[in-house]
Amino acid sequence: MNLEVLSAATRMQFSMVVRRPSEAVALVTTPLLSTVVLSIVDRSRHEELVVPAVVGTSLMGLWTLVVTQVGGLVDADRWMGRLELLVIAPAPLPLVVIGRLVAIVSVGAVAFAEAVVVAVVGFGVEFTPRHPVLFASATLATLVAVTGAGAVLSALFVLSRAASQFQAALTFPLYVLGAVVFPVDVLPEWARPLADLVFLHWSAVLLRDAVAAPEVGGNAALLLALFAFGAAGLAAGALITRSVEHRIRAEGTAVMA
Amino acid sequence: MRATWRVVGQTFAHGVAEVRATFTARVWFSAWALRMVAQVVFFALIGRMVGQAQDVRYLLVGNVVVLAAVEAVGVINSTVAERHQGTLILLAVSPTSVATVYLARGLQWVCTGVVASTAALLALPSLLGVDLPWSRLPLVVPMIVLTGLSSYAYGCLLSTLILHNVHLQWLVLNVAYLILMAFAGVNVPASYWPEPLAGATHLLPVTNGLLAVRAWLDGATGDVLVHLVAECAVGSGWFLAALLAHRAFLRRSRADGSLDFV
Repeated sequence: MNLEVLSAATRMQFSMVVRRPSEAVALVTTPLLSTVVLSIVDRSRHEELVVPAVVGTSLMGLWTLVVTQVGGLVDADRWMGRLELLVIAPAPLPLVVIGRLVAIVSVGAVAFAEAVVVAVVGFGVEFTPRHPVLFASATLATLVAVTGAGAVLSALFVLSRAASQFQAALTFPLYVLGAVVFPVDVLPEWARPLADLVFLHWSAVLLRDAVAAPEVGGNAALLLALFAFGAAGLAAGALITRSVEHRIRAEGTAVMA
Repeated sequence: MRATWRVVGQTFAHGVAEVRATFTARVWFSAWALRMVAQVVFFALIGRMVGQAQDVRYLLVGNVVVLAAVEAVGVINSTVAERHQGTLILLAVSPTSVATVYLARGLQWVCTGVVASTAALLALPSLLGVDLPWSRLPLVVPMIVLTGLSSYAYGCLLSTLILHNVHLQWLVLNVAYLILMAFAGVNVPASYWPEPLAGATHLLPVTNGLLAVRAWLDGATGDVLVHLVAECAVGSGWFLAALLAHRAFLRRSRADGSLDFV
């Protein structure tokens, strides 16, 4: 039953994206943003900065797509009158949300890959991970972590009417604080410890090491932290969604904007 | 003419009311303005990563000025909303010129853009250790206004072109400002790109206005005027194109009765 719900929700979200691909704006903006960042790095002729730039813009593409899509995940259902049906259906709402998130993050993975394609095709960058196992693990851990973060956000966004405005604050401020594109020592000294609080920074460090570090070691803790962050996010997201669902039932607000 | 300006004024007042209904001051400063400022800081820090103080200054100035353009292309959302909400058809049958209302519909975003851009110009240089000549900053503001207006005209044309495909609004809005960030000399000089792309960048809004700002901050005067005139000409061209495209859209939609279909 649970797997069926997850799979059906994932398929439904995929169909929605295929039906209206223009909503997955980040699939189009990621190549442009990558072009902007890579042109700066290319002009500087600092080849060693290409990998952080490519990894960073990949993560930005993935995260931007997820943030913009999850904002309206449940709220759009409410506006369109689907939330009422979802709440009275036997399928648990948190599972439906997680299933749809899986589809969103999978589409986000395309944005992640696009940044690499722009670097390779547009700027002639050689992007071959030196440590493919670590690269694959770090990518998987990143996708899990992003799904967990998306689960929490999708639930929180239902609680705030100003959600769409706050969505914007979850992009560039996080990219700066998390030193997603540049090394952490570029940040002012007081801000450097804050980078460790941003999970995208953990992903950036792992992926940069996987692509360019001569030797890797000691990355297991960071990898586990990403998986744990994702799992905790999924659990928290499910709990919050459940409590939002109870509140909607109690207050009779499933069909109110 | 006076009647036209009155309509522009009323449309602007409508736009301001819309901004106030969308954002409280707290939300605007804590979310949207924060995001805009963070965008400038992000690119300035990339400048710090790649090189010297002049790289940071180049990226800071470019990204401060482009904030006005990013906001101004928000006109796409405002104008498309007229079609979404079914008010475009009412405008079409009203005695006033639709184009006047339509092309003034997002002027509030030029104002928010200039505010964001000016605030970033005043606050960020000292935070990022960039040395700008303070005595020259006041005249940068009207240059930002001009750049915002020409970007607004560019946004007006794009919004008109998607009136039959309004679901593209977010896509076009994002692509519109990213094109400016990529090719209008914001992050790399236009000459970085191969010809004929480098030449074509001068037909974009922002390119010439930003050259004027950079020249002014570097102590020049003569070049500044040339660049400002060029920005003015480019903006007027986009505005004229928007006006013609809007008339064509209305004529076609009236003829085939598609004005109220989204």
